Amino acid sequence: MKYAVKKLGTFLLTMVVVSFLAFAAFQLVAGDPATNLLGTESTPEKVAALRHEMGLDRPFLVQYGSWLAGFVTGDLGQSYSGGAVTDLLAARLPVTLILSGMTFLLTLVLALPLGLRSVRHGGGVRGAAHTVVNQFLMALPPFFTGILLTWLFSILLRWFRHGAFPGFGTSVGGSLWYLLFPAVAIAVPRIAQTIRMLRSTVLAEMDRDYVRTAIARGNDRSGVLYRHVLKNALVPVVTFLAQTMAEIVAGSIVVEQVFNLPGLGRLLLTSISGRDYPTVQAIVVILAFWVVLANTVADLINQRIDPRLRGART
Amino acid sequence: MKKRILAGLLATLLCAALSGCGGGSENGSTPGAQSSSGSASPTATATSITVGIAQDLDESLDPHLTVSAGTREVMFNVFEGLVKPTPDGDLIDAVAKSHEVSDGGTVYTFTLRDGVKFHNGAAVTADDVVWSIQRCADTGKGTAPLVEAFSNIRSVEATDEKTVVITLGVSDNEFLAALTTAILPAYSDQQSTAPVGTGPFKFVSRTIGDSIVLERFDDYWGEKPSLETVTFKIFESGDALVLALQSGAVDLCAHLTPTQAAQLGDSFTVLDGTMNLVQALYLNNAVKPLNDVRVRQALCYAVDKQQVIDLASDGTGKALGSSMYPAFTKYFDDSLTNYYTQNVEKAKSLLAEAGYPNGFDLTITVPSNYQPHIDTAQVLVEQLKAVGVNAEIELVDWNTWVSRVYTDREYQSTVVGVDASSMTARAMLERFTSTYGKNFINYNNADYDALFQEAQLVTAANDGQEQTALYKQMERNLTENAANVYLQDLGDLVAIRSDLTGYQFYPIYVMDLSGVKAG
Amino acid sequence: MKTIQKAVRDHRNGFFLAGCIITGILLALILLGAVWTPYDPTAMNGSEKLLGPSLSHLFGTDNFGRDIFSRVLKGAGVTALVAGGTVAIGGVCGILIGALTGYFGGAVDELLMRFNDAITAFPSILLALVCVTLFGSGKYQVLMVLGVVFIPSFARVTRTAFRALRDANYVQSARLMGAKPSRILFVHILPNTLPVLLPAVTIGFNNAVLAEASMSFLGLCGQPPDASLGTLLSEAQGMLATAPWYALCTGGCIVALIFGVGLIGEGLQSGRGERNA
Repeated sequence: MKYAVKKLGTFLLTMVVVSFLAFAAFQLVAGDPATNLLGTESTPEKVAALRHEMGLDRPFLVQYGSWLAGFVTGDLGQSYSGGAVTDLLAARLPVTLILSGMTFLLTLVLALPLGLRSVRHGGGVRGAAHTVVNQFLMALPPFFTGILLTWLFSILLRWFRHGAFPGFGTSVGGSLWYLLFPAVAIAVPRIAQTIRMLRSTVLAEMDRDYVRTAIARGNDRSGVLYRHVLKNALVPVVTFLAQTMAEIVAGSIVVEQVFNLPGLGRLLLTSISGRDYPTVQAIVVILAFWVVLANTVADLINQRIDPRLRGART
Repeated sequence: MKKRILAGLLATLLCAALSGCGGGSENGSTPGAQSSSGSASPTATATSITVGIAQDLDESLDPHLTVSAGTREVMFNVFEGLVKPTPDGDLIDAVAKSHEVSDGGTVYTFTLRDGVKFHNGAAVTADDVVWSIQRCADTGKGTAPLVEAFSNIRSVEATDEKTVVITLGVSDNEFLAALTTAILPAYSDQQSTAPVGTGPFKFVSRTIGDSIVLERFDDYWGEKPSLETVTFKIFESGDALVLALQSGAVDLCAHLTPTQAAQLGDSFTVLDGTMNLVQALYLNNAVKPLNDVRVRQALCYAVDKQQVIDLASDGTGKALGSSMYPAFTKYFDDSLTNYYTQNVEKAKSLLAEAGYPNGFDLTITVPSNYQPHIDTAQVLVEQLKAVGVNAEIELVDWNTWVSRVYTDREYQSTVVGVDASSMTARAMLERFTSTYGKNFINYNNADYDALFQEAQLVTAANDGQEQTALYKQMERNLTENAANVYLQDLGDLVAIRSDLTGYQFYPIYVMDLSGVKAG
Repeated sequence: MKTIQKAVRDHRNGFFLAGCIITGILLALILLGAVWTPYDPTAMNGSEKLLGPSLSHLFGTDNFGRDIFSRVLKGAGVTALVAGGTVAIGGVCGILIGALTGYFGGAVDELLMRFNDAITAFPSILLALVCVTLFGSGKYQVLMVLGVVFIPSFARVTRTAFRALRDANYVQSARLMGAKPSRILFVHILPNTLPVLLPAVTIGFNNAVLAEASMSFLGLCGQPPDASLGTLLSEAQGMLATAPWYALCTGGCIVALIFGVGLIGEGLQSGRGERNA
């Protein structure tokens, strides 16, 4: 329990640092939002009035505090493109969350069994072939895979209609089917990486004395693998999977563009090119939150698997 | 204030003066439109289509506050004025049933059409018309009126339920074009998010950054559209748009490049029109070395327009020589088109004369969200190399372009298209007078200013004959002084699902879906 | 150096060799592309638009009739330059920071590592995108930004390695003999961390290629007609139906670049057992 509280503390602290960095960076470089909003119609008086109205004349830390509080109350301010940032995000968030969730599930469901299979093959020629295939899959950038999938499944086979993402409001099934393709595009290199990670961890574990002893004593090899080795190898694998969350989010930013998905990534890019800083700021913090959350959950799971971790800090 | 405008198509002055260009436009060969009613099925089939557009609409959908051409293009289906433009470039009565001009062109009397309803069900009254026009003529806040030409209005009054009289300060034969301004329900204040007009389609919903949905307005006074719902879906990337067309997710899309259109296959008819804009390498006439007329002329001689058209627009554009495009049949002067023909030697000697025997460095600022301009700029860079001008493209996002190039004029040169928001020559030419607020090329030519003044003074006389001649002289002035390197009126390729017909081109930048039908 | 020699000597280590061959060929082509390309990569030719691959145009031509092979050569050069620069900046700074904090520890170390945690919470592309928003886009901006963004990951790996070695016997004896910290750090410890650092560099390089390609795919790197592989791929996406070879050739080039260096990394790692860095 104590461990969980401590982890939660670290989580909150990290989020505070992350949000502070995001806030400060834009505050320093982005220029005055009031001037930006008024554009060519700005006069010193108008700017001063708007600054007051927007609360920009308050001390820096107070502004930061109220912005941070906005994440709790759901008021993230006004986008320069009109409308509340919260509304913009609300429409886009589900797509990105579900896409990254699907990708993560795919990675999990495919990488674990495949990884274990590859362990049983061990070294030798087959192992080497494995490694080469794995390295090749790891080299496939999600946006390129996305283009290939589009070419194959949309243009040639017509399994899905590129650009016709129905939206969850219209058709949940259709939306999930559409999201499957970008999810695969992002997942392929992740799966390969996870397999590689799993394989090397398990193989290293198999070399350890207790395993050799267990096998020497006549225990069934695969029994040892599942009962002992896997449990010990799981900790780094869980940590690794949590880290892939960051990669998945990064992948979805780009792949949303390839598949014209109305997600946070595409909103981020339009906001960047429109210099819509309030929106960019909010998206950055939300995506970071998602990633840090995944890592914290991984830590908590690991602690369940291996109670020794409660004392240690890595 | 994000002005997500179709890059390069500048929403310009909503000013106007009378007469417009009556002549038919020579663009808009619409193969689909002609063969439409072949198998005339009497029962109009209910259909829904998805239209791909390249950028989100303005933050506000209020038609009086619209700044971008891309928004006007879509909302043309929702709003109407007292009069509205036709595909031929004429103005016909819309909310008005008829109109009369009297007292030397200063008094306009409109009789309203019976049975015109707003999308909210209310009937249009003279009060609504007066309110709408007054709103756009208002100078109360010390700002320019929403519709520039309305500054000339002395009074607007409803003489009875069905009659509106507008009195002008001085006669203006381009004034009627300004009355395409949308008529809205009086005192409406939700227009920016829930627009209500009288057009053939009514607004249903909008998802910012993703889509806009319109629905057929069943109480429309004119011929009701055959389409039931139209969804405008936004594709910021042209690549994604093409893929969506190929997959059948999008049924209709305008402003495609030939490369995009070439990929569509048999399931689409590609209609071929022109965009009605002047694409040019616009030059900042106030900065060195472009302030020297010889340098600007050298650039003109360095460029091969036809090659630009062939390479960047696959031969679909129409070469231009000045700030006027062919749809303005009355004002277009074709003799200027080939005033400069590519002549590398001449360009070099002009540059040498101007003191740049080894050429110079030129930055071409291009808005990044509009591929045809980027493609054109890439061809220009290659052509300018030949005369020693080392051009470099600088891509900027649209907002930056608007503030840096259009507003602050801190640039050397830029490739964009400039269009006319109303069907008047003034909308194209006034912008280069030295005192005009949006003269973004800093053109400063006393003769040009004088010609423009004169053109305004002769307005009332001779059905505009004299005025037309003056406008043509202004065009020649721009060409001779090489104000810009004029290139082309871009081809406008519209892809429409093969079983849909009835799409019509207009000489202004709109997309009329009321005539589109299946079969 | 020793690691490399060992990897080469180890005849079983085909990964390393294969990786070197692939990367070597690509590098040779890129270097060639810097001085000579079969066609001027920006020269347009209206009569040769969108041709398929042939002997005269290995990768075909694009919608301006430009030779795609020449453009890919130039583009790969840009990508490799940015990725290399990123690794150089990120590697040098990261190793320096990691070495110092790992060796000396203390409050500064703790603080920097917290900061590091916060930074690595952002996916690197997200961070780079944000920086580009603030500092503008372009080849060199992206290089600088990615370089800085990559510092933390290098610092972390280096820190762990230095931490593990700072109390090793040979280091302690060096300290007792009065060696200066700078000597201990860079003469005694650094060479022994190479088995960890070199694979980290290959991974870093691949991540940098991926990041650069993603950024330029999104149009945030370089101005036309300058193009890196990502820019070309995004152009190619629009011509997928008529010129699929364009996307395949450009994308294939990115894959080959990452694959080759990945194999080198694999070889370096399997040379020292399977433990992952």
